[in-house]
Amino acid sequence: MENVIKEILEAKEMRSKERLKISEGGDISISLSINIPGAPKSDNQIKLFFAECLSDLKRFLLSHRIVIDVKREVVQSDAAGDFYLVPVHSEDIFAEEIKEITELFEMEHSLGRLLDVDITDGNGNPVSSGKAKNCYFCEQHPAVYCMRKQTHDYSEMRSIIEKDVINFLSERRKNRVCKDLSVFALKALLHEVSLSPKPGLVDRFSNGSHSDMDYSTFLNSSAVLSVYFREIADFGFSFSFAHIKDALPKLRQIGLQMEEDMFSETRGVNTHKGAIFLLGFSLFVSANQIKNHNFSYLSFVNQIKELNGSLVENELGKKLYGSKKTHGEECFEKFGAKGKGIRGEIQSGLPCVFNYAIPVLSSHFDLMETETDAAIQEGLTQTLLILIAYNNDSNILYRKGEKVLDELMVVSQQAFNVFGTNTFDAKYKQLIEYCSENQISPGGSADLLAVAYFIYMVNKKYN
Amino acid sequence: MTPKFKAQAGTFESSDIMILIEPLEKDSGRKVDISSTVILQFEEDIKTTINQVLDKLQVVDLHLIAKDKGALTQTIEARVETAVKRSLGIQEGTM
Repeated sequence: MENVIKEILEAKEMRSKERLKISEGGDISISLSINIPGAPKSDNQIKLFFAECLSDLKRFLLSHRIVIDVKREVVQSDAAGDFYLVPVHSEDIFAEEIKEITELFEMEHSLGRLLDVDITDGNGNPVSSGKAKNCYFCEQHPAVYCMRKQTHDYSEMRSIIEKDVINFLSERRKNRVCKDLSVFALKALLHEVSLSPKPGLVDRFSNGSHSDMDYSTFLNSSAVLSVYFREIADFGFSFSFAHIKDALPKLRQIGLQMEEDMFSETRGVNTHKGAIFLLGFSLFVSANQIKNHNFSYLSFVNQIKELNGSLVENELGKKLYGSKKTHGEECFEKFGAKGKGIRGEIQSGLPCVFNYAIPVLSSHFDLMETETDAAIQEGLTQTLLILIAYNNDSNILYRKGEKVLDELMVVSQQAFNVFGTNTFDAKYKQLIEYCSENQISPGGSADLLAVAYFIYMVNKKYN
Repeated sequence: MTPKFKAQAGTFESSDIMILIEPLEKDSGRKVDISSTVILQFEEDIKTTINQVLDKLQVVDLHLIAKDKGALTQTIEARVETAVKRSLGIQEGTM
């Protein structure tokens, strides 16, 4: 123990020298350290915590227009713990003003009382406001008093800090993950609709086989839905009941709200109903699995199957929406297994997505760090083709019947087969013309394309 | 022993103490000035700790200034000892 104290004291003197170097040039300095009672003063968790707090501090300083000289910053970890020191460009600010601002930082930060932001003025003197922080543990006495008196048990204090730091870090992780997932979901929708040209579907330059919607309708609808992505991700991340099925009512509520908002934005046009369904489940499942550190394609499939159990029997087998049947319900009645539509696809764990779409996406994007528009166009086009070739799109089945659907699937497969060869353009044109002549739009496959791209992006980052 | 040089040890960080030593002429006696963020509760403790270290090192004639930010007894002992040794020229350290 003697040696440990000696090392800590020496480390503190070294820091003091660094401060002195800065004040010798007449500059004010700001430092950040963490109050950890006992030893060791740092470990992996604390280092992560320190790094988070340091970015918070830098952002805070910048927001208050305090400009630090990052070229001369000192970041180190020694016996006294993690430490950051930086000079301030201080021509028109007093050290006391900086102290007030950093005290505000400590006050507003959720674990601010663990943080020490010290200001040293241009003469090498510490700047104090004279305010005493209350003890982190008893919250009754000034911290300095409890520390001096050694009121609290070291191992108890350390375990409280450890718990608080872990909670802090997992909250940060949750924010990062849920933000990422929301971004992926919106990217998926935008890239799907922007993919051009597409057979029968709305794209940048054509309404495809649609007369009631165009590119803008999709952008507007995407904007409305994007508001809810974060909510679903947060829900999935926080969800911890034993049975994942307990999540369904809440998920449906958000989904129904999204549908209402979509219809109100598009004045009654169904742009994204399938996408809401697919992305909703996928956001929930991804968030939940990433939280538990077990996201993978396989666990995703298993969970989505569990979540949806007997979706077809439960929802298509009996009327849910009063007298008026949905297209999906009518399709199931008429075509049976082939007409299970999106519900059937999701109940069997999205085979079109995992068996066909994702391998194609992988072949295009796995080794790519930044995707150009051209690369995305290419990758998504080929993926859309394989999806159309394998997906029993209930939309087409409902409107045009089995023969047209089968022909569409064949032409799409043919185009897929010649992808990358010089006959591709002609074949792809033929597919587009087929859709145009028959006035069909493989909307179900477009939804699957969006969700496949979403899951692919999640996997690339989190598996 | 009698300090020969001005010397210091410690820092202004919380839970630390800054000790400054100025040599005095022989037989001037021991002059100790203390300021502390916990002066009300611990002035006597700090004074006793400092004097014990000075007694142990048999230092009498000096002016010692302590600026304390709640340092623990062990820390005070270590800082005073280092400062004295520096002022005697027997321990490295430019501070």
